[in-house]
Amino acid sequence: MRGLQWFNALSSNATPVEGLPGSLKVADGVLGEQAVRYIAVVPDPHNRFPRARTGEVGLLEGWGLAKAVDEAIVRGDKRPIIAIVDVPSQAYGRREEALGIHQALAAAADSYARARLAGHPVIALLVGKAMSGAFLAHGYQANRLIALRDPGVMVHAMGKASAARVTLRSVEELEALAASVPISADGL
Amino acid sequence: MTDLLVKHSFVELGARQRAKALLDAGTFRELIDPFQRVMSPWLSRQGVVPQADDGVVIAKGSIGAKPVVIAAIEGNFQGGSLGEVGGAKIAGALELAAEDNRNGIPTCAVLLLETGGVRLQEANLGLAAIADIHAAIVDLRQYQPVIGVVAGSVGCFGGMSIAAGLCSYLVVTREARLGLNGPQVIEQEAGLEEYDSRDRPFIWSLTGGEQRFNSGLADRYVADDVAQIQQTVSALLQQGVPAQPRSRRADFYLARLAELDATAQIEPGAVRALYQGERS
Repeated sequence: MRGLQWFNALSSNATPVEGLPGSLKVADGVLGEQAVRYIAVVPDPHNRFPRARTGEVGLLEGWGLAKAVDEAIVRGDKRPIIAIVDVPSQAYGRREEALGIHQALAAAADSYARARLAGHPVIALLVGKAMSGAFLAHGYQANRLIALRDPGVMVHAMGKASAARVTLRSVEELEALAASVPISADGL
Repeated sequence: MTDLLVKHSFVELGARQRAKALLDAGTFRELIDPFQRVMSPWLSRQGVVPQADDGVVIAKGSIGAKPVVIAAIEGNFQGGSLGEVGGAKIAGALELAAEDNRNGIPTCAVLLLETGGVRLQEANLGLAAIADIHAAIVDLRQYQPVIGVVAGSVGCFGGMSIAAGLCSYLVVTREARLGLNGPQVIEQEAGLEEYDSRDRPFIWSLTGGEQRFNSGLADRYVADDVAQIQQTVSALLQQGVPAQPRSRRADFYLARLAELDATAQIEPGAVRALYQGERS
């Protein structure tokens, strides 16, 4: 819930943006003297897609992020876009693969990248997990990544159990490797 | 029978041969070739033998006399996974192509995608490199088509499936698979009931090239034949940039997903009907 808490704290005087999936929190506010748009992906226990109920970036989240960012681009005021990042993973599921979750995440990355090219300062504020495909869709296209100095803030390409399975090693072996090869570890 | 004699398999070619097969005869020129030995510094200390091109071939040349840069991923090296070096080769090639366009040279790009995505031995560097590739595709795509080809047999997964989703056009064969998460990972994370990674017909029915094409998530469905793939890529390059890339159709896909009954588990036919309607 870190993402939601940071979103609420930053957007206390901001105007919520409606018409987006329930797992997205989007608001237009003022930071200093600058009009900004805040965007967060948050847990939604009523998400229609069961594999995306605890903050994962799934189909609705990918396409919804694209919509939220595109709306900011269309306004033409080049307002900064602040992505509040606390995403435990992309959604893993049959519905997601079948319906093209890769395309939904591409849409989100596309919009963030175009916003940056159009002159919007895009800032990702890492307050929790920034995992793999979820981070590629929400945050990694930013001009600047700002991470809290906190052990709960993590960037990683794949969970340990899955990484072990794919690379045919044990979780213990992976942990031993991570200690000697820091790039494969999951801290910051 | 005559077919067998005339056809040449694309899937059976390695990355370098694939790039050569697509370029106009005699125009292939490799950048950062294996003799420059720009290799992964991370693999050997994890007990993996590195490769002199890090599994990525960057070639310049022309297709139908148009200037092209090809990035071909070698699926036979570490599952086509992208680490620091291979990822930077692709991102750099695309960035230079965009720079060419800003200088009046209309270089376009073709990505031959056989990849499991991030190379887990280089986890965070691979992830960062793939974010750079995404950024570079979106930049270049403003000027010229970026064409993705998923021929098989590795398929295209992970962060590179997002790259496929960013391409101006996507070409697939029956051997191709395209999905964000590999079958083993979904099974690991979500359980056997959700996704049985050993059930190959099931996997292909959901993520195979034919299904992706029939659901509108790919633009061309071609046979595993060098000449046909070459002609298809060439024709798409001539077509120029599309009016609206697929990754900009959020309103369309959100509307379609809103119509779906998401309580039931999904079947391939339902995806085709939802996304293509009567066309499927």
